[in-house]
Amino acid sequence: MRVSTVQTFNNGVNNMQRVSGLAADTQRQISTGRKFLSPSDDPVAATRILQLNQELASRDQFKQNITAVTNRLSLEETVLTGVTNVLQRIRELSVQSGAGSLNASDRKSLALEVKVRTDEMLGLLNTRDSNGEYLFSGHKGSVQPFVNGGGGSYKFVGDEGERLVQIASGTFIASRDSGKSIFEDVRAFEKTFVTNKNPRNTANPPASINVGRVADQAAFDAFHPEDAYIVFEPVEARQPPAVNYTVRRKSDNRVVDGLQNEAFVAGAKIEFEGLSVRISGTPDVGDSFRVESTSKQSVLTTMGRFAEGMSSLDDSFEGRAQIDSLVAQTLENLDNAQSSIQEARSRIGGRLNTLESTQNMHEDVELLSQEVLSQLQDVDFAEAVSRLSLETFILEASQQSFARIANLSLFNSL
Amino acid sequence: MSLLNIGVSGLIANQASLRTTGQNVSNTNTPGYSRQSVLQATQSAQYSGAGFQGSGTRVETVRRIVDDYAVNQLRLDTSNSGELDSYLANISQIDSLLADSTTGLVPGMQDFFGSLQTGANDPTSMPVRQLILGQAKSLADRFATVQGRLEKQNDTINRQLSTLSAEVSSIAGSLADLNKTIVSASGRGQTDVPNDLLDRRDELIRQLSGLVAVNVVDKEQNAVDIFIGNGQALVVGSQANSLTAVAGKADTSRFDLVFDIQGQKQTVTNAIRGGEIGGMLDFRREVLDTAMNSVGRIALVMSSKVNEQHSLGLDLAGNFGGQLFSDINSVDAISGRVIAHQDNQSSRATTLTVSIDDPTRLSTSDYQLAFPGPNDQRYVLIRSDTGDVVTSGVLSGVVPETIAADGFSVTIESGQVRAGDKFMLQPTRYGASQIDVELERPEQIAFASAINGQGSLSNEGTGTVLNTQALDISTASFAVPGSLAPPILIRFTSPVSYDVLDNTNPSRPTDLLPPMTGLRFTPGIRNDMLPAGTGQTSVTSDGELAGQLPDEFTRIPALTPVTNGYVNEVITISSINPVTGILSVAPPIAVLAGESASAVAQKLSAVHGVAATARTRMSISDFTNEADGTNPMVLSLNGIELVGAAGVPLPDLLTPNALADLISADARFNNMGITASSDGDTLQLESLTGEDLNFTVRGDVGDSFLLTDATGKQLVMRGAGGSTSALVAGTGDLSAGTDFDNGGPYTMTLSVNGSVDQVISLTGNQILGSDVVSALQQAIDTSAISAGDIIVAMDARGQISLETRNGGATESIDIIDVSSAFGAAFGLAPGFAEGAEVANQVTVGGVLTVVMEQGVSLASNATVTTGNLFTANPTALSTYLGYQIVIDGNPEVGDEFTVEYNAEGVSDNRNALSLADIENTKLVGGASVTLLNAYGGMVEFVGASTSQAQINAESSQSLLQQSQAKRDSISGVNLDEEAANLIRFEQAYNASAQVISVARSLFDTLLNTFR
Repeated sequence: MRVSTVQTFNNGVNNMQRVSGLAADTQRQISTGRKFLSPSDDPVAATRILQLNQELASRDQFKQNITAVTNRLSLEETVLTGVTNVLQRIRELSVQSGAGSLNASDRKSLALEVKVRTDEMLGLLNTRDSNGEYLFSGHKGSVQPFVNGGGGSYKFVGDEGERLVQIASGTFIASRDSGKSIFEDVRAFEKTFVTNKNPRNTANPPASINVGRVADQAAFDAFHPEDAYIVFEPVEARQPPAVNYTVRRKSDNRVVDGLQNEAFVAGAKIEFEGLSVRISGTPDVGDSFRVESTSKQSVLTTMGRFAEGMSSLDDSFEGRAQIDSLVAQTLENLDNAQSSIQEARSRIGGRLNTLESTQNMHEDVELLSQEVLSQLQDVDFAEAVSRLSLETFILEASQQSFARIANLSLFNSL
Repeated sequence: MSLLNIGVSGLIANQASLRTTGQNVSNTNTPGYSRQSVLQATQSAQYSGAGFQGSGTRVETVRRIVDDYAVNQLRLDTSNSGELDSYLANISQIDSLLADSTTGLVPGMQDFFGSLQTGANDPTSMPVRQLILGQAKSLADRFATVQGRLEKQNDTINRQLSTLSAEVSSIAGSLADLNKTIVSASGRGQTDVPNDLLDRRDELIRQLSGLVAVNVVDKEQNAVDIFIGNGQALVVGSQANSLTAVAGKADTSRFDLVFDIQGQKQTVTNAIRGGEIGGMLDFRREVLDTAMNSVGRIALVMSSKVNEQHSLGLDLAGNFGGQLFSDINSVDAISGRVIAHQDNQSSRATTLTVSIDDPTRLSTSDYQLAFPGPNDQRYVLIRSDTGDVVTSGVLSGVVPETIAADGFSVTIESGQVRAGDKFMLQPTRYGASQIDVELERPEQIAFASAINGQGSLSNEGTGTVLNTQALDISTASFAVPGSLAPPILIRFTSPVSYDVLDNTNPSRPTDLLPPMTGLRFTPGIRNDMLPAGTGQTSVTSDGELAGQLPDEFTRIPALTPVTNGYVNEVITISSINPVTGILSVAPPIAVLAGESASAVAQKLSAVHGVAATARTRMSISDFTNEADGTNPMVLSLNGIELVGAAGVPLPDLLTPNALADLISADARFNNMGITASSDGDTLQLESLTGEDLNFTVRGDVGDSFLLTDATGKQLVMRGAGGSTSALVAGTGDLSAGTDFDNGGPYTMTLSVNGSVDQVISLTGNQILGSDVVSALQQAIDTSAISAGDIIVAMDARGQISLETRNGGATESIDIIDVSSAFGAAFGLAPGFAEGAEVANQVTVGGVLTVVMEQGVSLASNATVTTGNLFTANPTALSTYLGYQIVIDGNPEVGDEFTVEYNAEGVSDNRNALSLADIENTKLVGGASVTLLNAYGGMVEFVGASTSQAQINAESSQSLLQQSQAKRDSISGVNLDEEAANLIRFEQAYNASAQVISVARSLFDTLLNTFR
């Protein structure tokens, strides 16, 4: 074949360019440690790397979440330990107060300690975390969940929301427990009730209803589980016109115990169906208050009712009998509370176990993903270096051969 | 010929060869130069007696050594290589942009969703909220950066197209000039050609083919014509046309190539192939537009989904979150997605907008909305990447008018489109540049769910609320800021059924509108408690008699039941298949006259997509028991007498409380599903299954009570008076009166309580129904029958009855004969009616609530309100509340759950979890891939295209080298060869000189001979 002079030069240059391009690529791989720098070098691996990096990032996030949840649950656990200790002390006090040798003044001094312990308990239940959020208030983190309503009554004003945190794809774990399920949802020894005011009441300042008490358990048991409400009727319903109320059953609005258009005296006892409540303030016409039967009693109410009884009941035969029954009830209710808290603690323990095993799982998978990632994107140095030396060798060879060929010319011999 | 001449001819010829060799040597490196050689031939020989005698040599011509095939191949490969190189150069820029960790979107999205997770972990923390805002901003910036880079690349392409098309035009001009020169130089004959001019032209054509693929056609006199695209004549002989780049008519941001033939312009963008220009156009069409649309689509899907979820949640202040990112359908955005074609006939006042309806359904294509005629209204919507017609139709011409397709809708807002108009629609093109962060303050981030569901503390069962979630805040439920309107109460009426009630007043929950009662609960699993379908509707029977009292009670023998008065009715259920849009009609359902609502509900519920419930309610109050009455007042309900245990005094029993207790304690009522309750004044009766409620009262006329139905209609129910009576009733309708002078005689022969037969005859035109009654009453009273023995009455249906009112033990009415006209008018036939115990009765039917799935509708054949359940096309109300509550476990009767606005829910992170979950939800491209996978898919597409382009560019490069080598091998100068030629021609030249010398010496010899 005929070869023109230009061709000789072009051939030499093209070859040297191609080989030096290859060598430059290899050199870049070695200096960056990456097999490739743009996705076009291996589009499939590039996408896989994007996915793996995303997976690693979300695992990292999950691990952070796990740490945060673990901290929060540990705090809750500590608080619950404190609660258990208080309950234990109250239990001792109630056993002690059941002893026949104590007289009224002894019991009053015991009641004082119960009150102090109740305040301690209230403080524990209203614990805040480092962000200032109340631990047990459900979703309403800025609302103090347990409120002293006076007269031995405590109300839970949070909600039953629990906060779920994602710790693995598809796995959520509760990082908060509502005080409602732990401290309120405690089965009571005897049937009891809770009182509520209708949020749509218009009186300003609002009239309030106290926690009330069961005065006649047998009569109340017969009423249970019916609910009732106390509604304030137009003043004209009485002659002469006066503030008056009617107590009705919630299910069918039937008047309870004939309490229709009764004259209202603020703070006076309103008694029906074996229970007794008081409404204070000046309610508007149309305001209503609910009395809901329940078979549950909160920890704080148990302690409050116990302290109230200890300090008010006397040494009479009747008083003694009531104390005996109160102590028995309180012990029973404390046991129920204790087991509810125990349940909560074991739930937390279970969650902590889950967190730990999930954390381990994340670390294992992370290691694996890192390995795959490294296989996909990291350069094999041994292979790359030997490739580089091969390529430089070829480059040198082509340079030398080109110099030889280029020097050949017939003109040199003329 | 003399030897001298022969020598001289050799001398001249070899001199020419030497010159040509010199030319070759000196042009070794001239681009496009083809080596030349001298074509030498012998001079024609002369005949001498001894044959032909040679007469020397001559130079035929100087020719260049070319191979047309090699030249053409080189052009083709230059063109291919230019195309692939420019494609590769452009795509490489995007390739590294998209996957780079500093410019790509992946780290931005990871950081944003990661910060949402951190937020879910710690919803009240301000620094975390601030971090989220920062990450959102930086993500928006990344989108803008990527979009900006892509747009910059488009600008570069626009500029390059301008430069390159100018170069094409300039080369075309030079070629035309060369053609002219070559033609005039070649004029003298075929053998002599201007070699160097041809070389120059070939080189220019090669350069041109690097810019754009060309087609070269040879013509006479060595001229060539050059065509580009699909036959555009760039050069014809000495005539050159030009190519320019101008802003596109369909899309001004994209330059179009315009071919200009003597002032006649033609857009050739889509015809141009090959060369640098072709590669650029390919890249723009295949990669750049797709990349911009893909990134834009991801931005649109992400921002709209985040906004959608964010606006469902509540911020720290308890307000709805609103938009986190800017609205994808802002005024600017929707008008920026439409570009009107420059040649449109319609006025500038014609404005179109494109709104995104469902970002998950968007494609990455652009669209063209064309109005092909023949009239202004016909339109065709074409998808640009496939060329498929997405939808077509005819406009009404009334603006604004909307055409929906592929997740977006185009609206003609104002003005008038004309036949021939075209509009470019780019739903996703600028999505990435439009994204921005709207929220300003960290506390505005909505982490909390809008509503909260709770169990009552007094619940006895194990039912728990698993989840409460707002789904659509545009519903009436969320119309009042800061509250749920109305808050609802879920009350279990049994372990497997529940009512949903309006809990505005927690002391007295009431029915919702439309009512939601008697819903089914499956214990132990997750139950969606509220209607899930946005299209579910509910129809409540509202006919004249449905659940209402009749106008009057019926006085009939006590044991003869009256019906609820419902008439025959045919109900048709039709449904539109939500997927195919096909309407299907279920077999009509016949409601029989007097059938109970309960039975109708069962029939309706058998139809697919329909769940019907029925309920009957009645209040009874104002019991009056005549003090000195002779007959005791006895009330029966559904045939069961409401009397206490034997000996209970009736006045004590007839109080709402006593009756309620009695009914509640009676298992028979319980079995019928009838419940009773009393608030002391009113007895509430209810049949949960929609059974008829029948009241039968016996007693004195002064004994009474008040019935009130659910609509408030009232009826005073009285005792029937006498204990027995005889009664006959006609079936003719005389409510409109009749003329007894016409078509008579109207006579009836009658015997009452065994009296002598009396003939009663009627005359006169009685205009009203009451006139007929009084005429008949008067006719009877004036006969021998004692006045007051018979009472004539007309009921609501215009039917006349005759009744004895003596209260005797043996009452009877004997109709012995009627005249044919009388019988026809009154609907009475001869017959004997014996006295029987009588009572007043009322039967009330139930109200049906028919809940229908999306697309299902109900129609009735009712024409007038005559006891039908439904009107012809009853209005269906939506049952969708805009939120959902999920309950599982085993609730017990009376357990209650409330759903309220989540006020003060600062620690709630449910909405934050939903926001974070967007990262892992399949949302893009018909909800088939996640956001990140959609982006990954695009990176892979661009990467694979780049890698393909690299391979193609390399192979085209080596093909180019081969064809260049082929051409060089034929036409290139080889210096060694030229050196050899130099020696060869020099030697021949020397020899020719020697011939001259020999000739001279021969001549000298000859001269010397004569000297």
